Amino acid sequence: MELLIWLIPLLPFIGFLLNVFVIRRERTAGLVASGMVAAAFVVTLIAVGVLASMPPEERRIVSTAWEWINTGSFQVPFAIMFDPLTAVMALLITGVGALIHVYSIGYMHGDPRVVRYFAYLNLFVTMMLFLVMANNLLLLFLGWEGVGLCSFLLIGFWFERKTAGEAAVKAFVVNRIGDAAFILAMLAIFTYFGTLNFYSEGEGGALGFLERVGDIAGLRVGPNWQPIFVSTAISFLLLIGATGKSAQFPLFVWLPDAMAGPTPVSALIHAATMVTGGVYLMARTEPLFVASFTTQGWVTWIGALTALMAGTAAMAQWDIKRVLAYSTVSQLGFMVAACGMGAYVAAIFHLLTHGIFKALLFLAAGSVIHGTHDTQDMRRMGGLKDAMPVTFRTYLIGALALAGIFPLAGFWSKDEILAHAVGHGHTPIFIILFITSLFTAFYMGRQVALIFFGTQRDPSYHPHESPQVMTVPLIVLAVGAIIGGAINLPVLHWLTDWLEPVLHEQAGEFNLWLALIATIGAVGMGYLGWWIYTTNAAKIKIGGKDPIYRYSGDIWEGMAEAWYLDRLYQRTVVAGFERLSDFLARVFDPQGVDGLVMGVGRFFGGLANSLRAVQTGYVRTYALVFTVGVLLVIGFMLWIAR
Amino acid sequence: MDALTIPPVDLGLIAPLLVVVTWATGLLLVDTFFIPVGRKKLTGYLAIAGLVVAGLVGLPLWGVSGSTFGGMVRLDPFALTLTWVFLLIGILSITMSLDYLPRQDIEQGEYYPLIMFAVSGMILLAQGADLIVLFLGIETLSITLYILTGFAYPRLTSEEAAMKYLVLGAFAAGFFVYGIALIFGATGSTRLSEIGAYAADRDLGDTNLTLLLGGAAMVLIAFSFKAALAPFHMWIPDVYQGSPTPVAAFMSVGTKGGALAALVRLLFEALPTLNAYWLPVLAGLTALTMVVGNLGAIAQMDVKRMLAYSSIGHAGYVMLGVMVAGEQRGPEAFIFYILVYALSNLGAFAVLIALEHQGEEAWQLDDFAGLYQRQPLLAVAMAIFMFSLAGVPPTAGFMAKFYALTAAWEGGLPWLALVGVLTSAIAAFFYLRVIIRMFMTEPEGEPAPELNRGLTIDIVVAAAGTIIIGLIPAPIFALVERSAVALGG
Repeated sequence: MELLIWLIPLLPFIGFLLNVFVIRRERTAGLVASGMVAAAFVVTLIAVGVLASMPPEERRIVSTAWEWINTGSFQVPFAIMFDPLTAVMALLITGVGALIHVYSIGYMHGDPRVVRYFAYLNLFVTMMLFLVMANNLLLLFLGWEGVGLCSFLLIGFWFERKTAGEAAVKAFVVNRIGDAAFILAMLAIFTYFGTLNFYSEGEGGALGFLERVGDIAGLRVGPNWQPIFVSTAISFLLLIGATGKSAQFPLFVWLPDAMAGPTPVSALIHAATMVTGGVYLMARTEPLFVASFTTQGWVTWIGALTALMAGTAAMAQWDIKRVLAYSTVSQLGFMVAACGMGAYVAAIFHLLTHGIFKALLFLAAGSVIHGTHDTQDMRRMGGLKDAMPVTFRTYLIGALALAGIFPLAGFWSKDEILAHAVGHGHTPIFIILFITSLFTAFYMGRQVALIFFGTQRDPSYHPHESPQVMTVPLIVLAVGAIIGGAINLPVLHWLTDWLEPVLHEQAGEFNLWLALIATIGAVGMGYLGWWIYTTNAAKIKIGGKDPIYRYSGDIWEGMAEAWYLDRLYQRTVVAGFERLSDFLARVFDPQGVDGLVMGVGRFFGGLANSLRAVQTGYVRTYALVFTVGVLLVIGFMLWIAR
Repeated sequence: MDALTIPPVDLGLIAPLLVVVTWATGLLLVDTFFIPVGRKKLTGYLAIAGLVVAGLVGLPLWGVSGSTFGGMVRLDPFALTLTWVFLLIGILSITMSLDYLPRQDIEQGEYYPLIMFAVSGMILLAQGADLIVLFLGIETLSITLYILTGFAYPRLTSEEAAMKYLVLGAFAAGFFVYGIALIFGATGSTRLSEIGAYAADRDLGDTNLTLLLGGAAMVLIAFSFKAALAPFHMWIPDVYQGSPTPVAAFMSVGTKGGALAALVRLLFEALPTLNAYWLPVLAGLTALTMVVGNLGAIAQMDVKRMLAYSSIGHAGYVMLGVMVAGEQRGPEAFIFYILVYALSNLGAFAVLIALEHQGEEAWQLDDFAGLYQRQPLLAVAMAIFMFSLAGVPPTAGFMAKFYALTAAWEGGLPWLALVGVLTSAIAAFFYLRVIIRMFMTEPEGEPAPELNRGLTIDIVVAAAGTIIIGLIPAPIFALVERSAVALGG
């Protein structure tokens, strides 16, 4: 059994190694990569079967490969585990992952670097599996950084396009902020618990920190005038880590840009799996979060605000993928808000269904882009439903699921979050999330209308349906998007029961009135969105304004720019940073600037003289700084000796 | 009046050092008389052999603790492990020089013995238990490095670098000597343990305390200069850029390791009772070093210069362990970091050498364009080094950084760990730029990198070490754990 769970991450890793070192042909690369992930999915299914055969309270398999760190008190095993929470995540990753791999064979056909593409994709799946299977924070961090790296490489995969490179760097840098907080959280956890293991390793082993959260109850840290609870400090640091990876306010700016990567990558990494890593982290370390009332408030509000901001932004996008990107951010906000309200099962439920139907939407969007010869601007589309029937139908199913229309998957999971908000007195949160869900229906109606209805606005291309290797995964995912909600229907609540050993939650009450109102609202708003953009289809011009712009004016502009958060960072953080490094270079390192600015002059020879001229000056400057340092050091030491 | 007695000398305790010094001296003669011009590689092989022998000679000394030369030289697991690390640094540096020197037309036989002398200086720094010995060690290291820096003397930048290094180095040495004098004036001894005992036992009068603190401050400054702590770091970028690349590589890890090993001993044998004075100073310097090094690296387009700044930043991370060396985890983190940094940084410099061509300087970021297409394995190796320096798992650099941060955090300096985490988040940015150039740009007719045997061995060893220590660090942890025990006792 232990060997079995190691197979899950190792199979894609073997695929990665084969693709890097052995495989040179496009066809083999795609087959091997897809086959490995599909095999991992099968193994996961078997492992889930084994897990289900065990008594609920014992459902955790831990396997230690070797002691990663062992010095005195500092013990970290290189160990993975398989428990109900890990199981559902692994099923999503390998299941949706395999479909996306297959789809990629068609989508990436003819690309000159396709072998590298599949190598990256396999590595990503490996790292993502390590992320969800780690039995300690350090190994989780390995996966965390690993998926970040693969995301970076894949966003920048088409580096010939300038935006791709920039978007990749942006994603990496923004994520580093979250990572820094993650490292600090690990340091703090190790200091207070002396271990980074989540749970005890088997019978009689030392307890993991999640089982000992009680130890820090009431413990405070910080300056005397404003001490904070240790549990708050730790969980808040983890929250910052999660906001980076799961693209939450104020760090969500990287995700829309990340759409510069190939569309299957957007589906796998930036919708279904990696970006849910933050939600998974919060669910996994749930005892730490629950222990801090303060952090939970922050989590809830960050999630709700993100949902609303991104939901409104999604309404005003023209790029087919940016709509979906903002929608993803918005839906992640739903999950985070659910975590904050303590509805972890609902969050995971939504994570799973969203993983399916958002992957479907992205892949279908990819099919549209593929069939329209790399068109992404929805103003240049229109009327594609006849040319691309399969894509249209699956897209429609995905859109209905996302909009939360009964009885599709999204309806059940979103309803569970909303019902929890109502049932537990989070009225303001409920209002925000409810409005957001109405917006969701609206922008999906708008998008479907813009892409598939009316007439084709740009006649310069001939749309065609995608090959079967792409449409079959779409159909499979569409079936999932229809029936996916079944895993946690009210009354039956299988998922809640399955996750009970990990999350210890009771099934929430089903709120019939809420379900009715939400469905009616979603249908109404979805229809409205569709109606506005079909009746006004003639007014939409390539490069023109949105029909609603006439009525909303600058608000629309604000939505299109996601409330200027990105621009704010550009003007403050990025500009400030550039100035600072510029300043440092000019003041402390003139030669560095010399290399930058006068690199050309250097080539043409005038170098020797100019260098000699400044040479003595340099040493003098250096000695001067040195002396200042000396005065400071000696002065300080003698001053405190007083 | 007592007759002058010569204290008993146990040469066994300095066996590795002795081997390195005698071998180097002999090698100078052999090189002059027996090795013809044009076959100087042979000298290099002999030098490597000498370093290997020195390492083997050290094996039976494992676990031994003792002093000799009247307590001026000490051997303990701490010193021995560092000795091995330094020997490894020497070996890797010589290996990467074997083809570099003829390619740059600066092949001279004395290069290799000079590296050996520098290594002997580093070993002396690890073993020294007396201020005079430490001074001897630091000067042995420095003077050979002055020569090595200027070794490419037809090249103007090399001469310039040597000159700058010499002038500022002399400046720093002056502080060292003056500091020793003041400390001797205050305590009547230059022996670290005796200074420590003097400072601990007696209530120092005002005058003596002032003298001791003044002296300590000056010695700390001299070490800070060698270890490249800000604001005594200004020489680093110019000197690294100007010196022959293998020398810069050697310097970046060697001087840091040697100087900080000595600093650990100084702080925890001579000055532990005064830590209320030096800890805030060193903590401040460390924070400044991490900030300056990592911010400075961002603006660089020249990879060699970027690595120079990065080495300043890493000096800060090494210091995290040094400062809390009174705790068990401090020296552990220090040795571990030096070893890991040596592997990753020497590897990165070796890749630079592979890209370097005669007379041309191929260190610009753009020279890395599309390296993956041109030389996939070289690009992968460089990526490993960059990730390790940036501290991304599963490389050894992550382990080292995480361990150093843990040490500082537990040692009562959480704010410094915070600065470390934040600056290393910034650092990722400039290491990443190299990776972007290698993997995400198309080559534009850059000449193929020249990889020959020495370089290949270097790069493979360094890359394998970086990955293996990242995945299975336990044996190394066990080693440093046992090396760190004896300290402070």
